[in-house]
Amino acid sequence: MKRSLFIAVLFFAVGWCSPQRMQSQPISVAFVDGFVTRYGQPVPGVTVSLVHPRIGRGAPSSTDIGGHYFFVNVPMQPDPYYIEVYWGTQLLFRNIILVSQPRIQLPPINL
Amino acid sequence: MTVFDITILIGAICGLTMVIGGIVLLKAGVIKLEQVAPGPGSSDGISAEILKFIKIQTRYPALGLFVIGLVFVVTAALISKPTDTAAVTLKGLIDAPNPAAFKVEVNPTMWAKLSPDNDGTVDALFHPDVQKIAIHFFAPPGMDRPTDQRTLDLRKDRILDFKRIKFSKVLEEPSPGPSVPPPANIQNQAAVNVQAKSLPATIISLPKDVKIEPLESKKAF
Repeated sequence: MKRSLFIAVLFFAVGWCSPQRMQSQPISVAFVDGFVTRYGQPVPGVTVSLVHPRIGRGAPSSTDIGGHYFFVNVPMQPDPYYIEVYWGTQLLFRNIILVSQPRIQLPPINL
Repeated sequence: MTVFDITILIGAICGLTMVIGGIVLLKAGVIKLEQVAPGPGSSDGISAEILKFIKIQTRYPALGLFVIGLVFVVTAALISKPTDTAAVTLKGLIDAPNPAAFKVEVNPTMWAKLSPDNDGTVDALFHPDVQKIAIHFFAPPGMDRPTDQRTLDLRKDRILDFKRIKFSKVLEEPSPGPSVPPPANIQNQAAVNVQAKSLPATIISLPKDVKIEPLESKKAF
């Protein structure tokens, strides 16, 4: 009886921790956007990039004519991302942000 | 490598094999150069014609192997030569203070916009319009607009002329923000930054134990 119970518990534990079950849990992602400005005027054409020390760097976004940038499918993480702004390849700005909600509108970045 | 490429490669290998094999057979004495066909009209002579332009003829039957091998090699070389019938010329002028910093992309216009069935199947008929070409201009930072696009019809002379496109500089490159040390409590500061009214132009230094991927690295998300 005890042996049957042990085997049943073992099967249940293996099923609970199986890779298929872990993969089936959706990864929570967020939409992040904001504006880049200089003296209150939009800055078009600069590159904005999100990078996480553990995950890596995401696809960069370029600001449009209104200085707006956005990122889709940013994995939500308990630890912060670094957000960077580049003029071509020249780094102009870097700060840290927390991506813990599905929709994040960041405050304007003043260059 | 496509089936076409493989066919060309096999043709060239066959040709080389026949030439090298002919040399080996000549050396072994199986075929001899002394055997000569009687005259130009003789059936013992071998001739080959490639695409009506090149005609190779020999009165030495022993050289037939070389001739056939050569035909294989030349045919493979002619077929594999890249054709320039589809070449298109792009002309025009980017009127901007720093035109060399621009990037120009040439693409066909969108050929079809389709909606899959409920089960995900896509089965649609569309006619690609190869006569319309889209030219995308990507400006460097600080111009009056970051991108622009022109759609042109491909003429008979296959020249795409976008004439003149003007961009003006509206912003000089700002100086990088001052470098500041990382905050003591990164977690809290990151949450505060999201709620702040604005983010000042600073460059937060990376903590010693943190390394981040460079800008040009492979994208993770």
